[in-house]
Amino acid sequence: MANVAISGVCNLRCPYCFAGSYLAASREQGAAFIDAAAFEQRLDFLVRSGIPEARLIGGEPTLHPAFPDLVARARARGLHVVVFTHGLMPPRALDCLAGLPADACTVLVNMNAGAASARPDPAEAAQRIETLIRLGGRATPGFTIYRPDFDLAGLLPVVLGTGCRPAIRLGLAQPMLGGGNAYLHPKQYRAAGARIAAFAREAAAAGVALQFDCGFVRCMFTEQELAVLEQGGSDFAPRCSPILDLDLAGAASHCFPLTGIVEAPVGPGATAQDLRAALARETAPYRLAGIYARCSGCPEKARGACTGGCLAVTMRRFRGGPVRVIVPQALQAFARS
Amino acid sequence: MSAPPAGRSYALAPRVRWVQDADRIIVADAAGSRGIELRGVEAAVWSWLSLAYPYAWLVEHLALLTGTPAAEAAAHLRGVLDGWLAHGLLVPEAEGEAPAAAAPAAAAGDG
Repeated sequence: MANVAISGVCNLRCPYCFAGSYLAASREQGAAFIDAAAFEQRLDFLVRSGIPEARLIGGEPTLHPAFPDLVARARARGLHVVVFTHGLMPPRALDCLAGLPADACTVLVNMNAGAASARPDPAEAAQRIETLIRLGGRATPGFTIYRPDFDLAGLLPVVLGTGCRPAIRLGLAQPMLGGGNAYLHPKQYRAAGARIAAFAREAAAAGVALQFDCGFVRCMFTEQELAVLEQGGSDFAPRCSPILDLDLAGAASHCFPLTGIVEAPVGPGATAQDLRAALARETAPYRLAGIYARCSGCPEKARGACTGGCLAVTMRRFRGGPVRVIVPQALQAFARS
Repeated sequence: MSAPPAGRSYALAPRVRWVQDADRIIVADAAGSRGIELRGVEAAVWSWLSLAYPYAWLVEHLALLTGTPAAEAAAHLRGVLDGWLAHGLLVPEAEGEAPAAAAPAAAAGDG
């Protein structure tokens, strides 16, 4: 897996957006959109790495003025196209995606209401539903959890009434390492887990499966709740690993929350496996810990059943200083060893 | 408690980050991507240093913790510090640099 950023702009200002560092860097570099030559290099990288899909991210990827051309280039390489969108896309982008064979693309539509402003916007919601209807089986609605009082109930009628895939992709908003975005605090995970599990029962009864993005932890669910998720056909697997987000400048970051912090240069001939290994080495010391103080001693983490949550959250727990010692003159010998 | 004796000061290497977990301290050293888990006496000494306890206090309380005479505790402490210095976790502070008082972490963790 690797995500290719094709846009450095977005026309929404979602409070939980963890692409803020990336978007700010894009603005500073004056980079708004990827050009065709750079996109071809990214496609070369994907093909060289044996990755069968082009996962297009932004900013908002569908705002790219040549979006249909980029999609056509990816398809010409035989790649499945995955688009991460807020769903309020320009007609040319919607027409392009709606014209692809249903098995040639996956459009993940973020359904969070009120993302553009503090108040829910009925026109926005209506446009997202229209997008789902146009895309039908190409689309999977998603929802990003960033506050403890989230409500998923409204998503079921949308899934059942639009002809989109019978699934909902859940994301957990994670903090950018530098801060600045809204996210769900780990202390709220257990309550969120109970709420998700309750919804999973309703979803399963309606034939809708839950899909989970990275950063969830096992202990946010009880054993009974985990069984509910499994019975409902969810793909729940607590994970966090280098996603490989390729930015407009061609650098590969571990993931958006760690943009500018954990990155690897994409050299000529580099493959996703090379980069992932480099990033895994760089982050290995932090992987000893997890998002909670109990994670490092957790048997589930030890046996690989949980990664201990999002690395960005874990790294925020670490600090430098103020460890310091003044060794008396008489004991300076220790320092000469 | 007596005033810290005048002597050489050592501080955490700038590239080193650490976190206090439930039963251990995890030290991440960016150089070589090393992760070190400190437990028991080492974890205790590390946390005492993070709280700015002076050397004499460390010796006194290490002796209490391990039930050993002060001289033995001092040797134990020297060994621990020696190891951290050898691993580059601690580095000498600039001559004449005044030790800062312990302060809460700037970016307090979420855990």
